[in-house]
Amino acid sequence: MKTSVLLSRIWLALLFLGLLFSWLLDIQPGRIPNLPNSIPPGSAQALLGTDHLGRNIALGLLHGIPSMLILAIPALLISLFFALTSAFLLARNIIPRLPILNLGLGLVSGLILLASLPWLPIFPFWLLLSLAGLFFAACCIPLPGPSLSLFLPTLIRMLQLILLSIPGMLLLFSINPNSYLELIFLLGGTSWVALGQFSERSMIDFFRSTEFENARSLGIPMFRILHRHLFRRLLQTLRPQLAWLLAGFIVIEGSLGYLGVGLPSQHWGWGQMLRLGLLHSNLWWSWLFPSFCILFTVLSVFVLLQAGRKSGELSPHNGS
Amino acid sequence: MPDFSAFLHSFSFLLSLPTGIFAPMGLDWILRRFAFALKMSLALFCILCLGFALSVPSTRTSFSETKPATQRQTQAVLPVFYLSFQPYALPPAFSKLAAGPHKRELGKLMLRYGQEAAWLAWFNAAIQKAELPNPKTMAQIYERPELARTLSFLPDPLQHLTARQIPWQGYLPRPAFHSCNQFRVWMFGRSIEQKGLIRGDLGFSQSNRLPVIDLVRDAAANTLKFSIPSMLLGFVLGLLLALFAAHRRWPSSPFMLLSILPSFLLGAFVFLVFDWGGTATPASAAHLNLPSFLLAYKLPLIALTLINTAIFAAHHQVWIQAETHQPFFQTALAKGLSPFRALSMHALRAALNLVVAFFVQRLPLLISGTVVIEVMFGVPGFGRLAWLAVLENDQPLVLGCLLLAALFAWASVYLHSVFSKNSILIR
Repeated sequence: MKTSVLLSRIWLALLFLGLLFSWLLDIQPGRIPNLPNSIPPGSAQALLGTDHLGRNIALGLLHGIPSMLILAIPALLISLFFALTSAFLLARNIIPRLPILNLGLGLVSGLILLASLPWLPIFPFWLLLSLAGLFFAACCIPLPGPSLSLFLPTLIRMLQLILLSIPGMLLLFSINPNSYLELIFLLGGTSWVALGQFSERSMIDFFRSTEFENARSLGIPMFRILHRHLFRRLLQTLRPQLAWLLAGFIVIEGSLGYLGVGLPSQHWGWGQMLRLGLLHSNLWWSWLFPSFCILFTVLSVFVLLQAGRKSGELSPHNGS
Repeated sequence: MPDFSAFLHSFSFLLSLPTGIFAPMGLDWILRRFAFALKMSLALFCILCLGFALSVPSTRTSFSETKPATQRQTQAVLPVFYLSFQPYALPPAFSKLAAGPHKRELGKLMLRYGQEAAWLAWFNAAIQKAELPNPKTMAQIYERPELARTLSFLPDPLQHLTARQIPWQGYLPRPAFHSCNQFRVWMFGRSIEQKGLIRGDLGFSQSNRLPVIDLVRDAAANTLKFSIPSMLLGFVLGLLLALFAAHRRWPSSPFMLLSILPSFLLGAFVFLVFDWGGTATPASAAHLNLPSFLLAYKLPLIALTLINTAIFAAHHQVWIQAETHQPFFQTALAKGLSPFRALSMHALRAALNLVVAFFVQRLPLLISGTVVIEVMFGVPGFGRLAWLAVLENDQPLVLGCLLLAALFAWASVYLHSVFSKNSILIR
């Protein structure tokens, strides 16, 4: 085993141990015992020293672990879910054939259109919306012969375009989420596009392969093919992408903490500790330890998830 | 039932006829890109609406908490959109109130305790006198009706409240139409002073009363002054490093690791290593020409160039090394070309499509990718402006910054998709 992989595993194990300790001890920033200001590391009272306000650095670092993991891991899972779902729908070109729903959509769009006609000069948005609704409804009608259904792929492509065109950091700034749940959904819901495009290419290749054709001709159910053949292989292929994404989420959490915006008010993480530490740069321990923690975590995640890849994930010849 | 399929087949054939005839002339290529441009325009419109919905003042804060001048400028007293819904049990006049936490709490109180007319009269009078209580107090009245007796600002009928079962009309929506609303004013304007977004007016900043468009333009110009040189420098250095690393067959991991590092860590590193004499940054950059600006802000320039170099080097090296396994590269070596020449003349040329596409993909970061560095080094640029606007809750300015960044990203996505050979988006 490579030394870097071993070190990464040790560091991540330490992180999870820290997470366990942090939950067991129920560490809160407000409850951290008040110690004398600016104690250097190595003292009996505080192993890693205290900051300019007398807060224990080691306890602060321990509290930063759940803040980071609570944010990064669920956001990654949400991204993965969105990416795989959208990729599957696009790759299989699944089209909703629900006549009642289409009819309802068409009727509602038509009514809005009729209602908006007298208000045309001051009603442009609803006119546009109803026209779009009518178009989608017309596309969804399950006519015999060649399929005109474009609704779902068009919608997903449009969503991808919108999400690609929104700068993530500024979006988080603007919304200024009030809770972790809001932030997790925002992070996960806006970061899946690249992962989705990569998964879509892999899925299209799989569905065109003879392996898939053979499995179908043998009568194996679709779910089993997806579970045993596609998803397991896809997760292996997606490992480097997931590494980028997870490391990116950790970096975003640290950056937002450093800037002091876009995070819930109860949040306390390594980014905040680093910012306050750099304000008092003569207390070297107050910025050095948070920096090391962020650095080691990002590098460990990256090294560990990259370790399993077979070839260059950015290679032009493997579909990326 | 009539058979539509034959008709549809002939119709689709007729539609495809001009495309088929002009396909060799590239009409298909043009039509696809034109359709994509239409889609992108719709996406841009959606982004604008999303930006408005996120930054509209009354959805996040109560209009009564802001100053009257700010209310007039941000149109916070108006309803947010053309259409709104409210419970049928509430009087129609309720829909005319400006949205926000106060209105939400008032609606809940009316549904729980009845006496709608009295509540509405008290609320309108309180707005006129600017004496609205905190929404939290109103929420407490909802939980504990006996609290109302102790509150002197409530009139007599409202001090003796009795909770009731919410009537069934409370669960039915009543639509209300507002011809004059915040979205209309923001998008299409209202007067000569407020021209609206379609005429390029983003309103006034709440914190310093200056036009948002001027503030954003000046800040973006400052950001571009150091982000463009650092991007170009990073691109060239990254390419040279990648060629050298591919020539020496170095692993790509070190560049990858460097590229994933947070910018605030690299910034702190630059600050600690290069800031020997405690460089003083000027308070304003308005009077500085480009060389003086770059000299004054050399530390952020170094930090950003380091970040860009690592990212470009990591990606370029992988792409160039992948081309070295191709038969044409082996042939070039067999014909006696030196490895470095074969790399720079053949492998790089083969990977150029990806290299250029990646460069285009990173163009939006010229504006929105410098926030942390600007805040760290105090550069009066776009990222710092957005950061300050968020800290000061200056919604028009936040929206202006978001729109400019979105416009850059939108243009980059469009260019990238149009000029890349196998873009998924352009099918």
